[in-house]
Amino acid sequence: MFRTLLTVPRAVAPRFVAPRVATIVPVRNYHEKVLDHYNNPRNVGSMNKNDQDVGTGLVGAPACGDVMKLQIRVDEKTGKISDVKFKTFGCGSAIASSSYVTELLYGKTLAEAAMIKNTQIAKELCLPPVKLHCSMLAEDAVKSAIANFKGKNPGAKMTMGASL
Amino acid sequence: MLSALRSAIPRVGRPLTAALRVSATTSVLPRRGALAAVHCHQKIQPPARAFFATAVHHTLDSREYAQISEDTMVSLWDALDFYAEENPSVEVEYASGVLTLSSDNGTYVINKQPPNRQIWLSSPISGPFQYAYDVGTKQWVDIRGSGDTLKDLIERELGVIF
Repeated sequence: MFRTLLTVPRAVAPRFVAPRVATIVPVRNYHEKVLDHYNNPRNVGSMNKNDQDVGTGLVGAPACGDVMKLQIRVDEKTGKISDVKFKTFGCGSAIASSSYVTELLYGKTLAEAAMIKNTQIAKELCLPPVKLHCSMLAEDAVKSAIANFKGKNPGAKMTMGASL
Repeated sequence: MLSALRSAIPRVGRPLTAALRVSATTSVLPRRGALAAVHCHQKIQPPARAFFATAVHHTLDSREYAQISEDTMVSLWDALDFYAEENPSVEVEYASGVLTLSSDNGTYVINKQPPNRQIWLSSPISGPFQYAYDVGTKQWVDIRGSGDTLKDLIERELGVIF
């Protein structure tokens, strides 16, 4: 009785552990900044796309695996972005790129927002070469949101604002 | 319910126009491993064409795309392989549709993107590019309207002609 109790775990344990270790080895090495945004995304959510002061950008293609929706609310008095929300369906880098770009957008004028470049996002998140496309998608989302807002508000000025 | 939604997700390889039609009326669910917090539960509108990152117009059918893109990738691979032989610090690899060139200056990644029938390139010098095939000129042309081709960029940045 005592012997079987001792021998059974010994026989089973190594066989059980070995394959688990083997599957853990090929770890994807996302940069910690990507993981931070992925695990704790900033400004996730959505706004009413019918609001006059909201611009909505939607880019990407479901078939390609990445879809990004980015919304900005522009304060009528200051001309600055007062609220930003995003939802992204895609890889960790795409989620992190859109999360980071929402942080960048807060308080910016439309003209400042339009100057955000994919290189800035890629640099901050230390994206590897194959993931640079994700940062480009985030830049596209910003431009798309601005274009949508300007379409709704033809009178909106692309003023550089007081912060420049 | 969930399985019904899942079956509505456009699968990779389906023509993009069909995928768009589906996406306009159904929820988009994150694939396994995607973040729970970013589920897109509401309906997705067809995107504004001007900033839609992936061109919707296809000039090639999928069989033509498969052949032309593979021809391009292989001839590029040949040329880059030759370049790597001349430059000991350069390494070139082509596997499952992804061509990688690594050197001291950084890494180039060139890959096929079958869902939208494009070729994508990531350059350590000039960043990411997406190319669509132009049947008239028989060139892979930058979809952002710069007029630049895949050939131009490789020649300009690496001095390689293919």
